[in-house]
Amino acid sequence: MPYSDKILEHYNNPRNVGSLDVKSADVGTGLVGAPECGDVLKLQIKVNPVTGVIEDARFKTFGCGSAIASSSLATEWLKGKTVDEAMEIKNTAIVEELALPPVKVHCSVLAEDAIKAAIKNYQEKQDVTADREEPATVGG
Amino acid sequence: MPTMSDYYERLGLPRRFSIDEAEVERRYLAQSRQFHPDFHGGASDADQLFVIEQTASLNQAYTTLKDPFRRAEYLLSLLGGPTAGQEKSQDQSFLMQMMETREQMDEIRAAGGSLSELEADLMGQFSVVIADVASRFAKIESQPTPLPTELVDIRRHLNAARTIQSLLRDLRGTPDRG
Repeated sequence: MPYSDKILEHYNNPRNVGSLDVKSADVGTGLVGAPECGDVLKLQIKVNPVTGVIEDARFKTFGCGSAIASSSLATEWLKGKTVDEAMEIKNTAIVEELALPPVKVHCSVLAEDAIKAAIKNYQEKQDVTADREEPATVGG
Repeated sequence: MPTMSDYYERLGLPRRFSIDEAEVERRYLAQSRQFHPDFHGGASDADQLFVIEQTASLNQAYTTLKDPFRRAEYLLSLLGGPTAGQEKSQDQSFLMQMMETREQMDEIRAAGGSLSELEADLMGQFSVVIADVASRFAKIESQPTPLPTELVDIRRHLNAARTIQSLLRDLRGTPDRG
């Protein structure tokens, strides 16, 4: 099945390839694998702790063209969104935007999973920081 | 012969992970001789169709059972274990390590170096995972019914094996499947 122009465009010029500092408190890292095909995707977000807006997003993947295109598009969509808005990104929107063929839908699922994992990682870091600042009330 | 017989029955082998691969080969060869088109040239269309179908299912049984990874995938599905789509979780440190190996591979490639060491390392890792899978199947086969957690555990190992395979395919420069 031929790939859409949008897939090829992201594949040839992937946006936001690279890494952010895993250890930074403002950075959430999602590392997920798609065992159906063996693809692995690392997606990172850098969140402004005051506004909750995602200021930067990066990805690295070893995977097929559709995995690269899905991740590239996902990082573009993430920038400028709040964490809550980012949680709403669905793989079906990626499928639609890129016109992914049915056998490549799992690549978009991988991207959605990575977004969720990155947000979860960011939120866990915030909880840890909050716990340190104000110790949890007993029984609360 | 039942049309829905499983691959183990098809080759007359006991349903377990550890099987003699030479025996798979022998049984395959013995059966394929029986269905060889040269012996059925003058047969009716219906008979020829039957022979073609039998050959196809025999080939499928053979390619599935002779390969440890495919055999494990198949056996897990027979046992009702989760598919790769149902149980996707993989160990984070493993995924990180795969990511790093991938980066290492790109660096070696860019520098025009040899990838043979990395390839041997990945093949070693793959063997370790498969050996682990073999011992897990052996444990399951020694008890009346497998526990769901044991099946999930095998699935995770097979997910890791597939990820290593994917990296090896990339390292060897085999064209992407899609």
